[in-house]
Amino acid sequence: MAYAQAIFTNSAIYIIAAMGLAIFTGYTGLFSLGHAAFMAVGAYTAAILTYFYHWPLLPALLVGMIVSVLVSVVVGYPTLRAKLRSDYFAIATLGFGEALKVVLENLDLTQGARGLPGIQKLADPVNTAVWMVLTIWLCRNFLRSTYGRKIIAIGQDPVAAEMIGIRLLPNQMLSLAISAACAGLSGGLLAHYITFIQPAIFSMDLSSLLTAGVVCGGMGSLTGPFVATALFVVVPELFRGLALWRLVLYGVLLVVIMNLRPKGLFGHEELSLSNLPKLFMMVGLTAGLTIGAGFYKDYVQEWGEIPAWLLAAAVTLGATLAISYLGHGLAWLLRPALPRLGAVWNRHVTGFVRVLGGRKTQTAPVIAPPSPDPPVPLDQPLLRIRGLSKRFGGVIAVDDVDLEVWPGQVVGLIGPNGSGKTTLFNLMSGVYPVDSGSVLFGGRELAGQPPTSIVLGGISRTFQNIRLFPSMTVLENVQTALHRAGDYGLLAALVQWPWTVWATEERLRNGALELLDLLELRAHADRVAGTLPYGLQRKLEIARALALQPTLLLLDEPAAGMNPRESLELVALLRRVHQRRHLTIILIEHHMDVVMNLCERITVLNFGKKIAEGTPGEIQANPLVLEAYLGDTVEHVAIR
Amino acid sequence: MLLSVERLNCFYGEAIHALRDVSFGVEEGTIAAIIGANGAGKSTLMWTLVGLLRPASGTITFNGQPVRPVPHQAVASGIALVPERRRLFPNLSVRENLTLGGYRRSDRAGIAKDEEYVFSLFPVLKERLAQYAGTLSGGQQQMLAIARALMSRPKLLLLDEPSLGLAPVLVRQVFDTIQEISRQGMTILLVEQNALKALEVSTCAYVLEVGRIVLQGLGRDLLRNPAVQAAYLGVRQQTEVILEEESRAH
Amino acid sequence: MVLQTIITGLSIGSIYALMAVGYSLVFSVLNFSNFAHGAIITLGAYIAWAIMVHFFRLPFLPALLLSIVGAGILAFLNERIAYRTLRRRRAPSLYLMISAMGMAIALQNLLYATVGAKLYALPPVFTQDSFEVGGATISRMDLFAFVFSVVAIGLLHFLLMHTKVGTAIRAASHDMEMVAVLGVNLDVLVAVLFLIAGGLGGMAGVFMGVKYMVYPSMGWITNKAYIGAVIGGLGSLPGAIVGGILLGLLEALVSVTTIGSVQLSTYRDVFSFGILAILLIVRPTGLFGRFVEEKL
Repeated sequence: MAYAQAIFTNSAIYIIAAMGLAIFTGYTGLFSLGHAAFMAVGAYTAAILTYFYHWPLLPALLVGMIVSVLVSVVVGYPTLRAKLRSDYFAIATLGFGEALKVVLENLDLTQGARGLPGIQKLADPVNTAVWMVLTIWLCRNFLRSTYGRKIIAIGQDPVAAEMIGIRLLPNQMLSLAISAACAGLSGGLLAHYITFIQPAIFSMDLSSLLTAGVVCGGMGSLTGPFVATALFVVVPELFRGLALWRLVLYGVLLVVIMNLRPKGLFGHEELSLSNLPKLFMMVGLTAGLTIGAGFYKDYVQEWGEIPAWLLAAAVTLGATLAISYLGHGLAWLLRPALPRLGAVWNRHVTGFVRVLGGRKTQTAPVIAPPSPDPPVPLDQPLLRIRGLSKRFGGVIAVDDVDLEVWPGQVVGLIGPNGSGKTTLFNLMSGVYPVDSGSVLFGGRELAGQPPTSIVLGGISRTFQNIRLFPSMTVLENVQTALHRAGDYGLLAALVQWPWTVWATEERLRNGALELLDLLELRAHADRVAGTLPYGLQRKLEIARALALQPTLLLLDEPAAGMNPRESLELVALLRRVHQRRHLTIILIEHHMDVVMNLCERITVLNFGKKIAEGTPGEIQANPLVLEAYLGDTVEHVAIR
Repeated sequence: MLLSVERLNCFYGEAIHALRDVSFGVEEGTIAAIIGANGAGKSTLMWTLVGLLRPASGTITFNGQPVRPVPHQAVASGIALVPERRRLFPNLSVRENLTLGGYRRSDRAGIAKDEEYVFSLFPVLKERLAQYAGTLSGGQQQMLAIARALMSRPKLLLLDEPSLGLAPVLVRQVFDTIQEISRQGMTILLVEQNALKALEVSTCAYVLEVGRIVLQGLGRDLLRNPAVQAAYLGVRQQTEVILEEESRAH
Repeated sequence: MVLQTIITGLSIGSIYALMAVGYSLVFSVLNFSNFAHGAIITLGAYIAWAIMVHFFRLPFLPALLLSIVGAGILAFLNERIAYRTLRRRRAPSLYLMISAMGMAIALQNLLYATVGAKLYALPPVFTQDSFEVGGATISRMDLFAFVFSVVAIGLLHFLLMHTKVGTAIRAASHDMEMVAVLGVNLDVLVAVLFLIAGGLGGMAGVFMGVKYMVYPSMGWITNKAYIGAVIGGLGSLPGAIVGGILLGLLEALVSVTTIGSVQLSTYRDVFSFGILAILLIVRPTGLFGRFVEEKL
């Protein structure tokens, strides 16, 4: 039926744009208020090329996508740099939308507000479907690659992402570029399907449709926005009379979903065995409504209103149920078979990789094996801090601190609450700018460097309040930190080029598993990080920090919240890690048993100043230290 | 008992079991102290008492009434908190910070009287009424924070680490003030890392360790207890040994 | 000529400033962009139309006051429905923004669906339309709007600086949790906040409606207000005022400029976006800005 085909094609076109927006808003967490503008750019560019210059469709679409990407830089660069909060980007997209509308209405080339009628109908259900499938496949590949993981990490926790060396600006702009490309493609196809475009088409209404599709479908999924967008396109088509109310519905849905079920339909889930029935039900509903509407249109003339309605309702119900049960049946059938299929597939992939990418897998493995010679010179301090100071307003947080740490040492940093320990870490890792003093690391000055450079230069840290990527699995958390080794190109990533991508991913996977082994987390590799108990989350954070192959590891209260047994285990674990990895460690801790047992040297801070330094025994006997903690000179109680 | 806490369990964030079966009481007119190392759960306790955190289980009874996890109601019933690190409003003047302390009150005469009282405790505040709170020194900020809490004429004053970030001479001043306020009849519960000062002034004291109360007694007695010191700087086994020996002795 | 441009700029700039203040007020306390502000402004204009034209025939001043009150109440309801739960749950500001956007879309299209897309004019307010000053024309309405806005912002200033509630609002913009600990009922405080922001928005909507027309998508003029707020510095109330007026003046300047044969006035919106982009590159904090980086 022509009508069903039309609905299908429209859905496919908007789904393409929605996939891009899903990556940008859903995964990267940046809110865009005007993605329709990117569709407009793609549409007009492609249409002008085919209409005035008689280009064939494919190159016109590609150029449309490219122009859309270039335009996205204009919007993205000023607003995403300097770690500005996402409100700025949203406001900029609003402003850009208005500006674009004005330009389109006033350029001769675009024929102003009248628009461009008479574009060739070069898009049809078949090639649009092909584009849609292609887009979904490319987006999925992107999300599974190193690039995708970096973007997802930024969406989950930008601070943590920076702390594992992911630079925010280039990755956010990449995400924006991909979403603009999808929108541009979508716009180009739209122009060549409805054959007439004008600026008014690319309005806030269109942006709202896309946003609603992504949010209601689930931010963090491709499947969800796919389904939701389809539903949002199909349903209003069938209830033409309520055209204006559908927008009201989108708005209401956004409010309701955010308040009641922010995960949306699919949350962070992709297509899997457990939500296969749900997917089929949604698809069934959409398809059912489409087919039912087709029947209505075909028979309303002959049979009259009511009978046609009844027929349509019956067909809809029938189609929905049939497809839903199909989904249930399929899930039931696949349940036993899928794990086996998965294992077979994995074996083939690994075999393939080994055969073809053989050379690559034998070159430098991801994590440097413990080498007999430590990689840093032993005759000078690894870290030399001189006169470091930092104040916040009227409060001096760190006051002229000197610290020297030699390669291979485990140094403890203790002091009462508010003595400046975490501030010192933040200064070392570049989170706060230094007021005065210097931080020499391996001879290089760190003060003034951005945090990502410091991380990539060999200093890695954990946080007091754990900062993991909660919706990634344990394995993925570590894999993301291995991003430097995932150095295949973007194009290879998009097509999942087996020779480079599969081989590298295999290496990353093995490297991550190795680290999990070291920290006894391997059994939990596929658990979602946010569901882990507290102690395991702490260990995962350490594993992730180690993935960066640091020379210096800064641990901020790793034993926080642990009971005595867990603390002892932690001590043993850290000793093992220290030996195996030839690390230098600085440790902030309040659990004195951990500090005294693990550290060979301890530095004590109070009021931002260093008040003592020495071996554990010396520190325990030092009256200044006791005074700092307990508050007054101790005369009457002896220390054991 | 003005304040009574029974088997309180609190979680901080999603996974940290910050308070485990904590039970204690504060008699009216006394100073009670809870001491412990960092991460022991002291601040979590304060936030729960004032209604900012919802406990997972257990009861808090104040003045015969249960305390509900709604901050402005906890305060309305007569609890005032001087939070850790003061949390003054730096963009407001000293006077405005004080005004907010007495937000819930409408008795002009009473407020004026309390202001006089507060200025008698902290004359330096009266001199700097128009100054922005953010520009005060550490000691002055602590005084303002206490004054702000007093402005609500509370029945129970909670102090979260009042000595934090203060030089020793200022710490002495703060604790002298705390004792003065107590002499005027106020019931005080303070948590501190600075154990000795806290134990000196308190009637009744509790030691909190990883969310559990491990020692309790009169302030004077705990002052002489070596287990307290070991808990701070010693090796864990030693503390456990002490407690084990004591329990075997009974 | 210059004087006329300045007057035009001030007249639209003061409306931008009014809108920007309402937006910044909510932003500074609740730390998110209330993108539904435009919808409230639109509704304010429609209330005036309903009272002055459609249902009754009340004169301007009562209609204005009723619009202010009505818009305030609508803003309060907006908060209650769309933001309160999220605020209590300490949801990230992304969720609040999306919810705000949802309200904006829903309300605007509700107007389209019920009242329709027709543009309505509000009846002229003053009989003698304008007067001359130093060679430039000032419309009485513009002057009234300007003065009224100044008074309103003055009242806001007084409220914020000299009343208990205002002091609490200023404190909340720094530390909302602590304000609750001092005994302030946050639900009530936020309700008052939205009543004020909504009232200012309604005022701006009426002035816009009188100056131009009343139609469902007039709320998107707030884009300019947001840009003005960014120019002045997000989170700063004086910044919002200065930014809004500055943007108005700059737009007026552009409107009268002609380069070659191109009337720049048609490209006003492009110009506004350009200013935003350049400002964010050169000085993201704006003139008085506080909130630049993501609050972690």
